[in-house]
Amino acid sequence: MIELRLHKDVYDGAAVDAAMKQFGRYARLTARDEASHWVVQIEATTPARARTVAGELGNAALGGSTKARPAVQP
Amino acid sequence: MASLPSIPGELASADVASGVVRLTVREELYPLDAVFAAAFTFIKDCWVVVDRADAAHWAIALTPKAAGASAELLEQWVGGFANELLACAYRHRLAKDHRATVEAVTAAALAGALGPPSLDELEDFDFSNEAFEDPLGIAMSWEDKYGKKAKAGDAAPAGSTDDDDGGAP
Amino acid sequence: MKALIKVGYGCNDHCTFCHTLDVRHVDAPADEIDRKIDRARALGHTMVVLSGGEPTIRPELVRWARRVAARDMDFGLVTNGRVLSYPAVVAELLALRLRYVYLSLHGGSRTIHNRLVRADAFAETYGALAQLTGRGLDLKVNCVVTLQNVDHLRGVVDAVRPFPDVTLKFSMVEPKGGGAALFAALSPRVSDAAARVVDAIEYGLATAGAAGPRFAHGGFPLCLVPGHEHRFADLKTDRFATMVEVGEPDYFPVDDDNKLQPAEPCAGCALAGPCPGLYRGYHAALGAGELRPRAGGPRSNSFDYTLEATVRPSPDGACPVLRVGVTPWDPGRHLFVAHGDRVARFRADSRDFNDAALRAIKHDRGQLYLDRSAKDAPDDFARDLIKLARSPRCAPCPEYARCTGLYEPVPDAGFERDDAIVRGWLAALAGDVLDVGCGADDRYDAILAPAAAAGRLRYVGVEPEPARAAARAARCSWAAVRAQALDEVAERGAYDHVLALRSWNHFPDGDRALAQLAALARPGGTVIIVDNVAFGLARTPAQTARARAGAAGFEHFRDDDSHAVVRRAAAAGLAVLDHHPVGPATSNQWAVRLRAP
Repeated sequence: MIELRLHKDVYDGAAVDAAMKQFGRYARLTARDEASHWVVQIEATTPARARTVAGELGNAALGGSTKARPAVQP
Repeated sequence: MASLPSIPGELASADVASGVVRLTVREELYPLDAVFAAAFTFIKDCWVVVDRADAAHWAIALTPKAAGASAELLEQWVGGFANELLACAYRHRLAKDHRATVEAVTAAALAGALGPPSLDELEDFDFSNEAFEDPLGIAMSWEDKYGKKAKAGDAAPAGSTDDDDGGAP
Repeated sequence: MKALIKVGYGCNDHCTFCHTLDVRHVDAPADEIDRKIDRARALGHTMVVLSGGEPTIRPELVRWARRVAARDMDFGLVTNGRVLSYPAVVAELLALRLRYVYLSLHGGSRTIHNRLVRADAFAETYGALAQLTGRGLDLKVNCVVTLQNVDHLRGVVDAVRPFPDVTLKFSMVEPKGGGAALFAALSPRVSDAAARVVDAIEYGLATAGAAGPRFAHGGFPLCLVPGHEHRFADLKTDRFATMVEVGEPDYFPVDDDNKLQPAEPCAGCALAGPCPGLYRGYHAALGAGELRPRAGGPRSNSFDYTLEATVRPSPDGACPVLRVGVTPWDPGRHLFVAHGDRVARFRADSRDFNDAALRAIKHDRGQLYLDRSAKDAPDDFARDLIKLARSPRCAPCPEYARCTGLYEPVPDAGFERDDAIVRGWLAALAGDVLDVGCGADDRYDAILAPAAAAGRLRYVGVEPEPARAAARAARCSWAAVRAQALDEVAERGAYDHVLALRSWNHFPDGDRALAQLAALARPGGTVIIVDNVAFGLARTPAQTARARAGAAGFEHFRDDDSHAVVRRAAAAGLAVLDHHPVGPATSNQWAVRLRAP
């Protein structure tokens, strides 16, 4: 089991939800809401698969959070 | 976690067994937008997690997707990321520094512009085929948007009869 | 190297000068572009750049970028930038290796830009620039200069000044598509436009920060942009090797066939090598009267083909060039060399010679050599160079004429054979001999010294470079050597034989030089002129890098072949006694023996 901790200053909650929805069919995902972090637990058939799902889920949540921010433009 | 030969330990460290390298940067120098922008260019090859190290620092963890990362390889990744981060922070600062100039030019542009597309225009647009979001309908061809067919006469320059409407078709 | 793919000609702008005005309804099917992306990888390209029309309005944009990245190539766009005003699109493309953007901005204000693109586009295009700057991109902003914006070019400079990583390029409007249909209404006089561009660039240089922006121009004859010749930019300077239009089955080299350097007045211009010339359509309409050819100025007499890749041999022994395809390779700039079962591919990116000159050197004169020396510039051709000749396997091939060809090393480069002709002429000399531009070397001393010692000839050498003259004088007690240029030699009609051995192309003015040489000879005396034509050297990247870092400077003012001398001789009334021109079966040395009137 891998635990992914995504800081609320960085990650948008909706983006984390969307990422979990996207990767839910590849692994068993459970989430909990801590004071500073969204915490996602990933269980998969093999450790390697869990690692891959965790990594890609983190990337998807990061990408989604980027898009959710106001544009970096003058 | 082991330190990396050419990077100070307080900035970066590597866990070779787990294939992870961590970089710590000051938020004051590297705002989150810059971190996001740099991270985005690495997500094809690395898994990236951004966390708060403390109130003043970001901690970025890079895990190369390719298995078997050595200390040297992890050092290359974190070095590349640091370079990208620097470029992104530069851009961020540039955007801030020149905000007034760019805003002035853009504002002048918008002052006489047509304004946002009407609801009718949006309703006519088929979003289902779009691979990227285009809420303003920018990606519509000129002919589709303005309902004209291209012909030589359409290319009349300003000052000719066809351009008396102010330049915008 | 970049490959340019036209994905279709539809666009969300409608520029007055639109090059593809008649085909705006044509878009390539998505799978055609997929195939072309894959083909770019197979051809060894390192970047795919999508163009159009407007590539960003295609819904497949991100998918194509992903396909390019998945094939380990960088991605680029030639675009009006409007879609790139969406931050999310830019972020996604950057993650997919977007590295090059060539963005069209034709005015520094909404009024001017929109007037040219005939859409309310300025805020989006300019907003895209703010999105793209500082991302580590190779970021070019292209401003097409027409009658509608020629008075407002400083405004474009002002608009891009906040973006130091931008290179702002001013391009002369091309008479093509809308630019041809409305030529009179759109096209400024090229000399006027060039003057305005020079003004805008100098204004930009005076007001830009140390970091940039940088400035460039394209489509202007270099004689019209004095002091800014080096700022010329085009697809080749941006390292585009090939391009493919919608519907074309394969790539073609990027070429300059839409432009020309008219013989009158461009022949002999010192800028001819790198100059883009005039657009053909402009020349047809308004002629070349505005051009101001530049006399003098030294130029290169060689260029490098640098090793790019090795090509897998065909298991069945078939031609490896035919196997990979004929059309993507530039006839002048690419070079395939076969040796045994190995084939190496080289490419020349020289701007010292234009495409026509490169093709002539390669295919007409056959002057290609493999450099086996470790020198910056080879100085002993017979030992340093191995000649490359078109493979006999090419002879029966139906693709012979349009193919870049397969070349092979040949053992006899012909240097000694061709020089033996000159040695024979020198061995027969008697009387007063003047050697103009004699230099410091002793190449022919073994022939001349005994004749001088025997009193059969009296040798006078003149050399404009004092150090070389002194070196030769110190070594040759049998010779009278003076530090003099041709212009300074006053003994009219004093010599039985006048020699110009490898000095001809060093004379700034060929007509004047031939008249002077002939005048120094007695009536009926001989004038012997020998020189080399330019040649290409196949080199490894390390050899090329070393040569470019080396100190060898340009000494030639022209690249005349023997035919140029024979033409002048006929006009000046000199009889041609012997003429040995350069060809694929010879070395690069030509020789002409003339009789003074």
